Amino acid sequence: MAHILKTDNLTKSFGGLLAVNNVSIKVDEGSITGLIGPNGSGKTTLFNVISGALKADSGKTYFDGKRIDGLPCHLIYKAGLVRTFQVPRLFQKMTVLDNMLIAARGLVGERLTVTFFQSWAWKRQEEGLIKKALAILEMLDLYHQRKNLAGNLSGGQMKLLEMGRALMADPKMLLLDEPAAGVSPLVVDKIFEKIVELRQSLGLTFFIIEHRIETLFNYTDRVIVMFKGQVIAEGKGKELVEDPKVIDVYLGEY
Amino acid sequence: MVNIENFILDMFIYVGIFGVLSISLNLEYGFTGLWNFGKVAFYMIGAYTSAIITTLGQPFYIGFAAGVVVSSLAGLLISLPALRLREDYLGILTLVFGEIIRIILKNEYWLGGPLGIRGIPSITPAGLDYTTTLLVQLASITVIAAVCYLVAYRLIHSPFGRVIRGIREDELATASLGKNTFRYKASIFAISSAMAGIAGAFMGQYVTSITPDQFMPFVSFTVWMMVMLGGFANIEGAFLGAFLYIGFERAARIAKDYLLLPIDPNNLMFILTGLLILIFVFLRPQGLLKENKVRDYKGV
Amino acid sequence: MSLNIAQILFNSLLTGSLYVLAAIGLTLTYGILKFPNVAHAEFITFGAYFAYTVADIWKLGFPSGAAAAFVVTGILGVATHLFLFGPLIKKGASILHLTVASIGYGIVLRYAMQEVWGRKDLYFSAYYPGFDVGPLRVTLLWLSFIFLAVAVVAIFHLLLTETKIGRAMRATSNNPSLAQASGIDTKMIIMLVWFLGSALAGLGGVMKASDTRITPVLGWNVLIMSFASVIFGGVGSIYGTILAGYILGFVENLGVIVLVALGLSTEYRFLLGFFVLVCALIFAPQGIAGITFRSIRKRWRAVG
Repeated sequence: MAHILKTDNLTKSFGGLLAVNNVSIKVDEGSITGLIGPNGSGKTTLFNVISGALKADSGKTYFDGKRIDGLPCHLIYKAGLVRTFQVPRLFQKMTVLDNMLIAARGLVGERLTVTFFQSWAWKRQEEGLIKKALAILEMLDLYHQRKNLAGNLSGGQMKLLEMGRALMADPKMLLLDEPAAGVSPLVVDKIFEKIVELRQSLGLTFFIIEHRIETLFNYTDRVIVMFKGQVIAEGKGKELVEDPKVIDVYLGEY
Repeated sequence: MVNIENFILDMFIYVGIFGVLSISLNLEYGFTGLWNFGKVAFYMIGAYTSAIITTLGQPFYIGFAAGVVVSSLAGLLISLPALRLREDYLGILTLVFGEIIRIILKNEYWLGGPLGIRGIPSITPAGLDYTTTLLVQLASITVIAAVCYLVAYRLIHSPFGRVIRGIREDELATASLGKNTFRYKASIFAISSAMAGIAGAFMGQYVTSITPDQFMPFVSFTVWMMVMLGGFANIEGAFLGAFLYIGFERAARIAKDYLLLPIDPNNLMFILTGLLILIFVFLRPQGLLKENKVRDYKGV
Repeated sequence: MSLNIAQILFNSLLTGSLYVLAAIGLTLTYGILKFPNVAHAEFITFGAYFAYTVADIWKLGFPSGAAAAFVVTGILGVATHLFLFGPLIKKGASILHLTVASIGYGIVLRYAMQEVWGRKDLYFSAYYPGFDVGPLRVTLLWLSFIFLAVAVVAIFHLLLTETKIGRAMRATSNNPSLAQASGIDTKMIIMLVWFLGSALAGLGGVMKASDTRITPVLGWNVLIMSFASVIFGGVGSIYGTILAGYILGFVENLGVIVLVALGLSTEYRFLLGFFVLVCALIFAPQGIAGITFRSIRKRWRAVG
């Protein structure tokens, strides 16, 4: 299988702390890959570096065959790599529907000439987008909230909306930072079932940070384990449980 | 005693001028979250550019156009550092920028120096009586304000308006959704500086003489006051705020003719303005009107 | 024109001392409460006017005027926090609203002062004749102000490094929530910061006025350079601000010579402050403190 995402010795430090230390990983196209590790092991920093929110000190990132390290966030999005955040970064004072629509790709209304002189053009385009957004919201059980302000949603709904927003962007690959944090255990399974379904129906690739080991092993094809900024193991769920290094640093905590 | 009719006409002309300035600040702060405490700089640049060109004998529309272009270029220029700045640093930078422009104008004698520029040709033909002149001026500023309102209306009720609101709420999230946030911020700075420029150009020909001291930082602060009164991110509120503030100022000006005050009315006016700002910050920080929606999504 | 290097350095020390006095309070409140207090300019002006009242209206002499200005401006700062910014922060006001409030408050203060002291320029009656020390032209006043500013810097240094309160102050200014979590009485520290910061600003106002004149815009004219010092020095960093204040003092004095040589108005020295401000904002948004701290840490790592 082809690798859709590949990093080569990515390194990022804050002051004296090496948050991401020589990380080289590969994510298969169409896979659901998990990223796990104790708090402070550099998972979110790795996501931030890959998605362009932070600049790497050194190393390379390839996405879909192109080098993307050093590109600003908006160009990485354009390449088809879209992310969510650990703490949802929604547009709180905008409606749920506006949160969805802003993420759409290729909006003609973002050009000033269209805004001023051809409002019919973006309005027509938006009719289709609204249908698409409502379908996604329905899937995520957020349809009834469509006209509410995003800031009034519950924590779990915010997580869902952020994923919906990312889906709205027609990504090739999604980086999900703890998509099921703060939602009830029942909903966790529902979210992951959705992810599996989306992989099948749209052929998306998922790279997911998750704390719940059980969940991750149930739904992912492969899991990468990070500790103190480095990748210490990777493999299938079952194999990892037996890896002494993993037991040492991670499972040992429980 | 002043003619009450003319007094009211003059007041509405200023409501128009400051309404345009308030819309322009609202686009920057209310919708995009850009702190601009130096609105007066762009107002001043528009006024001076147009005044210089029209006193050289060019017609007013050339002067206005030049005022708009130069102001909007200055807006683009100041937005370049805004690419990397924290919001509060941008506020300080713009505040200082306004003072710098004023100090330059005060010290460059070929630009008028401390006495400014006098004898700016008015857009109204000579020989009209005063009330008719005011009516023509009021009609002109109404057209200008209507155009600015329309531009802002189109902007904020569009996908573009959605993106700038996104930048205000969370710039990183907006960038992660594929928006080149710098392009948006620069466009907003250019558009709203152009608006401030035309407000300045109009003001210059209306009062026919301008001096650097008319453009103290206090002018920027009154525009903030108006935006806060009317409501952040509400373009109708911009005019409401301008109307309320200027009405308050004029009422105080009339009152001082009838009242015997133990305190200098000029000082009192400023102190009351400051207190009004404080009262609003305490009691109604979001202003009178609610934010304009991007769209109503009727039938959705 | 021959350059008197010693005089330039001396004048830089003088100008720098003013910026240090004016900027320390600004950097501390900015660092702890996260908003730029625009009304700080009016504290500077207030100090000058109050000293004038004590020294020349009540005729108690210039030194007691300066001392009274120090204390009363400090109290004004504490009152400002108690009655204005404290309650606003408690209500959850945003940084923008705090800034706007400081603007409104500044307007109230400035015009209240104009009401009390009038709009005409005032002068301290105390006169200090100049005398020569080697190539330097100095006055007793200048010398005492430089001495005062250096003493303030030294006292602050001792306070910050040697006392419990000082360490708490530094911790609060670096990370208020962390400081509170580790048991520091941040409320008390914030009061102290308001008192000292405003008192020093008042003293700065006296210093500026004693050399020139007292006008309602006295503080406003110092504010730009104060902000430049604060941001150049790194918001919340006392040492950075002190260093930046003296660097700006030097830049200004050197700049005035260049401006005169170019035949430009010396009012353009504000442009130099602006220029430094823009450069600082763009190239070193963490200020000098940020640069040196990082480089020191890097060097430390290389050693260890």
